[in-house]
Amino acid sequence: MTDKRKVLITGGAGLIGSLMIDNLGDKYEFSSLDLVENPNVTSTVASVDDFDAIAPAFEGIDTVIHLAANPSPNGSWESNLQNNFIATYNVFELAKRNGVKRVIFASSNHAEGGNYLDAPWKHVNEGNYELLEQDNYELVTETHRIRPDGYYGVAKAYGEAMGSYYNDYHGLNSFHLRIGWVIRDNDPTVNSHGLTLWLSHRDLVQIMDLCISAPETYRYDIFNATSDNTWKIFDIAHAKEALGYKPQDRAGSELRAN
Amino acid sequence: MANDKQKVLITGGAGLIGSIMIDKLGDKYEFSSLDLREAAGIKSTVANLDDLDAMSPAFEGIDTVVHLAADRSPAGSWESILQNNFIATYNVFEASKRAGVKRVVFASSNHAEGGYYLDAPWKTVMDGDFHLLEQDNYELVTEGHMIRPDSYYGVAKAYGEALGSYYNDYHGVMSFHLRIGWVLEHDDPTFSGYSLSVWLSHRDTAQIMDLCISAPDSHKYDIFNATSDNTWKIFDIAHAKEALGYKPEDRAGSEFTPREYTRSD
Repeated sequence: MTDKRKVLITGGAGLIGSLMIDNLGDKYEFSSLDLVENPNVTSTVASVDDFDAIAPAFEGIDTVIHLAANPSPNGSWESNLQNNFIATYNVFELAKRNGVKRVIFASSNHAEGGNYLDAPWKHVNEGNYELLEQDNYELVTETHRIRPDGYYGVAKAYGEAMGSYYNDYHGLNSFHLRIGWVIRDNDPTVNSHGLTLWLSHRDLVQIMDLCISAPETYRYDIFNATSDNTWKIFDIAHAKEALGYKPQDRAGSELRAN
Repeated sequence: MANDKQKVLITGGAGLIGSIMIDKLGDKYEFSSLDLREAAGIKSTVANLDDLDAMSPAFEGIDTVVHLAADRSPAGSWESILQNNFIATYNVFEASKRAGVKRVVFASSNHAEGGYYLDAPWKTVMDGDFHLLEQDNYELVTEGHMIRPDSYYGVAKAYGEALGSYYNDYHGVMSFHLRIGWVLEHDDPTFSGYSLSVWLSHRDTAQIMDLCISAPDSHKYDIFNATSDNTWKIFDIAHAKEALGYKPEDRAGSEFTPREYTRSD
């Protein structure tokens, strides 16, 4: 039976892709496009900056989750140009040519990371909670002006703009998740940056599921995506209201002992 | 008086906007040009902006860079925009940082927000159906609206604004980003609803560029819609008026005769 939605994950062998395949594999028919195989699903092994090599992976796909990138917030210009700028164009263009209905783009908090330079977000990022009153300071919403903290963050802002263009002019819907931090051991108490940005494994799976299954009439949006952490920088009200996101996890104020 | 004028490098100095600036502001600033051809009357570096090594010498000793050079077609292909707009704009910011340039003035564009032309009331303005609107009583697109490009060209302009924010925050290169409406060679906007709405006259171009070049160092980063004070706006220019002291001298009206617009170059 193949009435399941066909979902291609670029970067399907990575942390986020593997979490999705492990937790949502019964609901969707996943395939992977990555530099290495994901042994659990149909895999195309190719570099996303190679347009011709990756094209076959998009045939018959309903939804593309675009995770593949140089994931380092400090990546060089040259690497970002190839793996984040050009690769993201390739994904949108191939999605368009193959009649894909929606792209879900893994944007990032780093598209807004320049805000960490200023109070109150600097205090949160550094864990100086005594300078703040909980739930009584400004949060960064999706409508704040773009303020990246690296070429990586610039590339994420670019991907959101590209998605807007493809939605308006090529009928390709897109959602853009400004993902906080998905941590391999799922423990945000590693540092104060983790406490504020943590997107737990199950909350990640939930918000991705909501994005994949949102109605087609819902064409374009940008969502901050973290768990319901105590000391937020990013407002997640929009994802709650517009997607029905109900985060199940909440980081506190205490770091783990070294 | 040897040389206390600000040294201003214009990328695309041989083009329309560069020529207007050199013509109208040439006494106030020491201009030089970086372009594919020489700009008459000023020091010119002839190089392609996708070549960081070839263009770098033009940035030595420069105070302010005005970055105009690009594939200027809103219909430009991905391949051309990637080379001439994405990579070239990185090269300009990076060369500016390395050379100690204080500020980059980036020619962004209305096309970074051109997706709004698909929707009322802006579509109505664009189409010249002014009778469907009440003047000064409909929403305008501000700099705070979400990015909504209408092309790869527009995506590249939004990218340039984001790149400028990064270089300001992390590398001490200030930047202003002008979402330029439409600078016309013949300076006559009366040929479509769109041109009446987004016209930036030659003298208003020179004025707002002058204000950006001479703004105090304390004003580190900003984005401004830049059109003349046209009757049927799509873009709100209040921010440039308030924050820069922009006082547009020209105002397009409501009358137009549909005509083709072509440039001589």
